[in-house]
Amino acid sequence: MYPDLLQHRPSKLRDTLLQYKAITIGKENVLQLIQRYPVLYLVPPRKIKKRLALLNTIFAPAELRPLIRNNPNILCDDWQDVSDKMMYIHTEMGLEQPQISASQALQKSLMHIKTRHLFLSRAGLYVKPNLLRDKMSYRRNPSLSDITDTSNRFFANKVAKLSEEEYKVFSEMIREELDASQSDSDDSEDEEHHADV
Amino acid sequence: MIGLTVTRNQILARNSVSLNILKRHKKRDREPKVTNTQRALEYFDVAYAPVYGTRWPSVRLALLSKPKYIAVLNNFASYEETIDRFQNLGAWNIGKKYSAIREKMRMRQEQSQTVSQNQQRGETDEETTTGKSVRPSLIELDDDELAARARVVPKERYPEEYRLRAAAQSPAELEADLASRVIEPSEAGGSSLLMDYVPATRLKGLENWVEEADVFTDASQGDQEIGVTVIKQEEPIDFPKMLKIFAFEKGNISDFPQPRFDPQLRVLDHYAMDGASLLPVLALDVKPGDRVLDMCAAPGGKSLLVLQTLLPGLLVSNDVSWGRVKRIRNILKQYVPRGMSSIENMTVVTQKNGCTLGEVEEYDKVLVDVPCLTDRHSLMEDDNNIFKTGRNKERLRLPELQSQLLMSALEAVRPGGTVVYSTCTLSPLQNDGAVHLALSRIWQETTIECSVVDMSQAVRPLSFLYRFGSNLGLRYGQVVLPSLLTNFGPMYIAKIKRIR
Repeated sequence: MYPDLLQHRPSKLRDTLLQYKAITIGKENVLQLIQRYPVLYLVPPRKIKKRLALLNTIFAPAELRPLIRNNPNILCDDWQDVSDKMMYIHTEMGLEQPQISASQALQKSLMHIKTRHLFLSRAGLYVKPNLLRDKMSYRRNPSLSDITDTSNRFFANKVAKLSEEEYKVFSEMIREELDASQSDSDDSEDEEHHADV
Repeated sequence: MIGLTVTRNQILARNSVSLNILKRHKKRDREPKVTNTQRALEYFDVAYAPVYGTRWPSVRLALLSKPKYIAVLNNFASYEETIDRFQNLGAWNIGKKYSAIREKMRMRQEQSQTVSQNQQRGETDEETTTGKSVRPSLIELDDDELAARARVVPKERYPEEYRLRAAAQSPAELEADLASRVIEPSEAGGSSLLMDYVPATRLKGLENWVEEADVFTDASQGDQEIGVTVIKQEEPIDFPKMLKIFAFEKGNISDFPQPRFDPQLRVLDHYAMDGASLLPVLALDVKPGDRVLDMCAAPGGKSLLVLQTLLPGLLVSNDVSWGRVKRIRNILKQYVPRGMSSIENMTVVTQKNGCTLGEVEEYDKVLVDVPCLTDRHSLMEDDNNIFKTGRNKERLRLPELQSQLLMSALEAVRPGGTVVYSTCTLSPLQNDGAVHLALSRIWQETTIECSVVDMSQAVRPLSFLYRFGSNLGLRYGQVVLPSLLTNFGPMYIAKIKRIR
């Protein structure tokens, strides 16, 4: 699976592994993390340390542990991507660090998160909580992991109580909508000459 | 000039202070105001969720997502090439599909009929049932009755303890009416009375205040009371042969390309419209040579559809304002070639108020596509939205206007003719409610006799194209619900036949 591994010199291998052992995230260290998420091995330890420092400014230590356990990819992903996802979850969905770290949302693509969220939001099933006013208001909605971590069928049938076909059609629609808004052309969606009847 | 020597710094400081005060009051940084589309959405959430129940999330989702269109080919342009193009895109010819499905259903029915005949078990055809009775609509009560209802707040409401307390304070003044707000000067000795806090027992103007979302009921009158009979249409709707309509199948959200301009005839080859708008025209069931009136025709899509059937002997497209009439003319210009006298002689565009047409028994078929809340449009467009506060009165008067238009239509159609009432909203008040209002007034004020045609069986072959609403307690018509798979509508139609 990872032929690049074989290209490293054994001595370097040992060094890197020792360094990983030194970096700890809570009780386990990166070494143990690599067992579950081998891609991390190809990331130099410096980068991991830097990323951890960055994440420390956003998340409390108690939140950081479950966050990385659930989403190990954030240690090596492009920071802009990770940041975009977090900002969307925070500003559009109104959620905060505890909810983000309890889910695997950051493992999924931003498009996926948006599609799932908008599906519920437009159906009236997700109301953006105002955590400043009511700390428990996020409980009224389905949890973030129910929204992002579930299969399409489970999400459509059990979380949204709608049909899977509707979800499929909706994801196509959203993809079109987001592509159109990104291409920055005005009225690009109005391909048709419509007679409003 | 001593007092006027002000240093530059002081001036600047003074200006910055006033600037700061202005900044604090700037509205930009406060919470954004509610937009008209948000108002519309809140209204729908309150009003429709109880009516449509578990179907509401699905309908709401579809209303907020990309609408679906059908392509109607222009019979007055060369259309063969367009047909090929659309078929290559994978679109269905709706007319052909409808006939095929109708055939299948007929054969299946014949088979089951022969089987049951063999088993000597007859099929029972149920007559339509009357709708469930609901509490009387508040708009039907006039002001006096509303006031009476409001004033029913009894005197006992005045809190006991105040009465007792006042009585305890000054036993000699028990005669004073403690519930009234008028304290005579002679009672002034008991200034304690004046000091008493008298809680409100009645709101001034309560009779004029009607909870908007509460006004969502049909009248309690049954069909017999308003002289309405119901005919059940068993045969499926006829699909006019000359209509060439294309649509993509359920779940396919592809778009049709832009209409192409035919350089010789100088018209467009097709036009795209909301698929649900086809339904009222189908229900109208235009027969060859019919005189057809489209009472609220603007922008003209349904009129154009009637024209494309090539069936009517006369088509009158009417609307109330000059601007709207201009739109109808524009649409006709884009699709009907100039100099085609056979068509031009049979289409007339008029500008009259539908409520006061003054035409009696002039038409075979009348289509009334009334102004309504235009649900989908109100959720998408803030501009001149019907939910803006400036149009509140207009919006609250809609059911009244709609029933008047329907009454006028029933007067304008000849005995034996048909009126189709349609809206593009989900509001029961503007659908069944307006029809009921019109029918009861027709019964009370005129000698016209009508029959409501029950189309629930007749529209069944169309469920490959539309999502019909069932089990909603609809009394007079059918409703097409928007759905992500087939995002047409919303549309409500009621077909009424004039007997006499």
